[in-house]
Amino acid sequence: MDAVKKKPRGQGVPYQVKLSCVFMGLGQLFCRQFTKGALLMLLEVGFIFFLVFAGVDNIIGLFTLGTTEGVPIMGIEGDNSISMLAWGITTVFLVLLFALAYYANIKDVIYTAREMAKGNRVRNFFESCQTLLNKKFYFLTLTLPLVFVCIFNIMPIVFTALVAFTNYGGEIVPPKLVSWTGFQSFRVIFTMSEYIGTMGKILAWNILWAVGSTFLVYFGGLGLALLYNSACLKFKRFWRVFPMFAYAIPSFITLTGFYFMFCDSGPIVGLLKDWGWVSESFTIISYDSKWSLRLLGFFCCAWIGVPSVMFLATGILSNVNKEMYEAARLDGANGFQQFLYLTLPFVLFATTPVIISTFINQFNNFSIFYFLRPETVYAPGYFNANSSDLLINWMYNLTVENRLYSLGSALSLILFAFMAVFSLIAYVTSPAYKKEDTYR
Amino acid sequence: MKKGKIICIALVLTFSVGVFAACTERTGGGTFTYEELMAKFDGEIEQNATIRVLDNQMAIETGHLQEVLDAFNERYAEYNVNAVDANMDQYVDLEQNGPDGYGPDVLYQANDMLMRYAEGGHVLPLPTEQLEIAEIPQTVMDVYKLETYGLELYYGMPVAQQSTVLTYRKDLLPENWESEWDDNENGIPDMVETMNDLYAYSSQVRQESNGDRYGLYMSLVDQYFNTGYLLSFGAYVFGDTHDDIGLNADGAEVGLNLFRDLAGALGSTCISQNATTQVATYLTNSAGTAFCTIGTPDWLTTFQENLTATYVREGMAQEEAEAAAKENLVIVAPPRLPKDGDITKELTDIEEETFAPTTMGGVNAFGISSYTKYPKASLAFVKFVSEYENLRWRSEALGAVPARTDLAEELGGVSEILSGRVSEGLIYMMPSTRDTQYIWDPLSSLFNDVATDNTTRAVPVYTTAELLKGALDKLVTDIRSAMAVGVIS
Repeated sequence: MDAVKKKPRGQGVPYQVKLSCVFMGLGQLFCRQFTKGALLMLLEVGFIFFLVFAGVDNIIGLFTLGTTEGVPIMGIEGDNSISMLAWGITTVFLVLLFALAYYANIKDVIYTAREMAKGNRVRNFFESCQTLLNKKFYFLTLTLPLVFVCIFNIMPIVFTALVAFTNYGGEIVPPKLVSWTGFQSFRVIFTMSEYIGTMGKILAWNILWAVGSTFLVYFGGLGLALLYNSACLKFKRFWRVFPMFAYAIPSFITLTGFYFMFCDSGPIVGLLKDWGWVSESFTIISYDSKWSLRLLGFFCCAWIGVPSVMFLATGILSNVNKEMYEAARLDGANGFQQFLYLTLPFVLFATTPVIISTFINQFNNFSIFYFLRPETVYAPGYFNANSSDLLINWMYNLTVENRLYSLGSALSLILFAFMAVFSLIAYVTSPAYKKEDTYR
Repeated sequence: MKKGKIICIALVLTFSVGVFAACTERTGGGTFTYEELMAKFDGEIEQNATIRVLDNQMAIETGHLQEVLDAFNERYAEYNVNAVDANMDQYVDLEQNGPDGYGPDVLYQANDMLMRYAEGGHVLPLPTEQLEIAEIPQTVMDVYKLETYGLELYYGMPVAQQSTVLTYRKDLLPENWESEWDDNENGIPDMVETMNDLYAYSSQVRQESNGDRYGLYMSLVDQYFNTGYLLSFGAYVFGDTHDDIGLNADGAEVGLNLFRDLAGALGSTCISQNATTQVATYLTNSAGTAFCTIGTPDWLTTFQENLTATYVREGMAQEEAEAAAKENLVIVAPPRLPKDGDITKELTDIEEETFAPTTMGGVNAFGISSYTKYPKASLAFVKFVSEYENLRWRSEALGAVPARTDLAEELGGVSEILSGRVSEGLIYMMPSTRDTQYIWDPLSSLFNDVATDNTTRAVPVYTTAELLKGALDKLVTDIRSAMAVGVIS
C-alpha cells in the first residue's frame, strides 16, 4: 500500500489568501472585490494608526499605570492611573475585536478563492451586503448588542476586577500613581483579623438572609396566588389590588416608611409602649438591634417581594391542567397532597430560574438594611459594618464611605465567585434543567 | 498546533513588553519655589472668565450667595468676569470631579475637608501677602497651613469659625427661674450655665410632660458636638504624630460617663442623626417641644425663621414676630461641666465645682481648586469675600461667626463669645489632615453604643470607669485599623 504523501503546508493555498494574511483586504482586491478590499485595508490602516498614536501607549499604560505623578497645583497633569487602566482595557478589547475581524477577513478570502477555483462568479460588494442582510441577518442583529454588552457590561466588570489587584483607594487616589499589588487586597481580607472576622459573620448572615428571604418571598407569593385562585374567594379583583399597591410603590419609599414606623420615635414602638405591651426600653431599630432589625428586614422583604411572585404564580397556575386535579381527587388525594404532588412540582419546574434570580437578588439586596438602618454605625466585632449589614452593604461602606476601592473590588470578586458557583450548581441540579421534557 | 504556538508567542511578547514597561522608573513632580507656585496669580484678571463658586446650603437658600456673586460681577465688570453658583452638592468630591473638570473653581469648606484636598494637591496654596489676614488669630490660620516643598503654605482664606454653642428659648424659661434656677444670682439661668442644672432641668421636663417635651434636645450620635465631652477631660485627637491618638487619654472616660448620663436624660429618640433636623421644629414650634439645643451658631438663622413663622401662625404681625423670635432665641456658651464629671449631683458652688468645657471647632474657608482655568479671577473672588465689609455682610446674613477678631468684637454676641473661647484655648481645632476622616464613623459608633447603654439596653454594659475606658480603647483601635487599611489599600 502506497504511503499517503503528506501535502506540504502552504502548498495549494491560493495567493489571495496569503496576501490577506499579510494585510487585510489585499487578497480581496486580487479577487476583484475592490470595495470590500479597500474597506478592509482602510480598517487595518486605521488600526495601525490607532496603535501608533494611542494603542501602544494605552497597553503600556495598562502595565505601568503611569510613570509621571501630576502636580495639579502647578498645572502639571501627570498620568492618571485610573484613566490609563480604563484606556488600557479598552485597547485590549479593540485589539481582540480587530483580531476577530482579521480572522473573518481570512475566512472570507478563503471562501472567495474557493468559489473562484470552482469557476463561480465572485460576489460584488452589493451582493455581499445583500447576503449579510438576508442569509446572515442573525449575525447583524446579534453583533450590535454584543458590542454594547462588551462596552457597558464586560469592560466595567474587567475594570472592577483589575482594581482588586491594585492599591487604588485610601491614600492612593490620583494624582498619586496607583500600582499593581497582586493579591494584596485579598491577603488583607483573608489575613487581617478585623476583615476575616467581619467577613465570616456577614457571610453567614448573608446566606441565612438569602435563603430565608427567598423562601419567604417565594412561598408567600405562591400561597397568596393559591388563595386568590381558590374558588371560594369572592371579589378576587378587589383583593388583588392590595398586593399591586405594595408592588407599585418604589421600594425605597416603602422602606423609608417602614423605618419611620418602627424607629424609636415612630408610632409602632410608641403605641406598644403606651399600651404597656412592651417595656420602656423596648426598641426595634437601635445600635444593639440585631435580630429585631433582621426580622423587620424579613418582613419588609416579604412586603416588597411577595406580590411579584404572586403575579408570576397566578399566571402559571392559570395554565395548570385541571384534569390532573380531577384525577387526583378521584384517587382520594386531599388538598395538601394535590398541592405537594401536583401544584408544587409544576410551579417549581416553571419557576426554578425565578428562584435562582430571587436568591441572587436577595443575596445582593442592598436597599433593605441601607434604609432600615440609615445611621452609619459599626457594631462591636465588626469592621466598618453592622450586624444587619449584608456583604453588599459592607462593600458599600468600604468603597463609597471609606473609599477603599481595591478592597471593595476584591470583595466583589469573592462575591461574584460565590454567586456564580451557587447559581450554576442550583440550576444544573434543578428540575428545570434535569427534567426538561417532563412538562412538555 | 501552529495557532496555539502563535497565540502563546504573542501573549509572551505582550506580557514581556508589559513587564518591561512596568519596570520603567516613576518620576515625582519635582520641587518648586514660592515664586513659582504663586506665579499663576500674577498679572491682570483673566478676561471673560466664568468661575463656579461652591458655597454652603444656607448661603444658597437665603439668597446671600447670589447677592455676593452679583456684587462681585459688578465690581469686576471691566474684565467681564462671571462668577456663578457652582450648583453642586455642598460635599462635592473635588478629588473625583476636579481632574475631570466638573469641580468648582472656588469652594467654601471646613478645614478638615479643604486640607484633605490640600494634602492631595487638589487646592492651590494662596498668596497670603495679598490677603487680609492680619486680624485673623494665628491658631485659626494654622489650621490651613501645610508644609509643601519645604515651604509653609496656606491653602484657605479663613472666613468663619464653627464651634458648639447652646441655643435656648427665653420664653420657655420657667416663670420662677430667677428664684429657683439662678443659684449664683448672676442673671443667667442655671440650666443654660451648667450641665448639672441642664441635666436636672431636662429630666424634670421629660418627667412632667410624660416624655412629650424635652429640656435639651440634640443628636446623641453627632460626633462633632459630643467629642467635646472627651476633649474637656483630657482627650485629644492626634498628638505630634498620627500614631499618637489620644481619644482614650486618661480622664476621657470621665467625659464619656458624663455623656452617658446625659443620654439617659435625653432618651432614645435622640440617638439618631434625625434629631439634628428635628430640633429645628422642636425648638420653634408653638408646643415648645424642646427648650434648648447644642449646635453651631449658624443654626440660629433657621431657628429664627421657623419661630417667626410659628408666631405669625399664632396671630402676630410679621415684624412683631421677627422681633419676638430674635428676642426669644438666645445663644450662650456651652454649659460648664463639673470637674468630677458627675452631672447627676446638685452643685453648691458653680465657680468652684465647674469649668468651661473644651469643644470641637473648625474653621470654614474659601479655597481655590487646582483645576481652575482662572486662578486670578478665583483669587479676586476670595479677596472680595474676605474683605471686612463683605465678611460682616456674610455674618449678618448667615449668622456666621467671623474668623477676624476685630469683626467679631464689633459684632459682639455669639461672635464675641466664640472668639473669646478661641483666645482662651477652649476650642479644639478639628485636625486639618486626611486622617481625620477615619475618626468620624468610629466616634459615631462609640456615642451610639454608650447612649444606647443608658437608654434602651436591657442590661447596661458600661457601668464602671474601666469599662468606659475599654470602650475608648476600642475606639482608638478601630481608628488605627481604618487608618492602617487606608494606607495598605
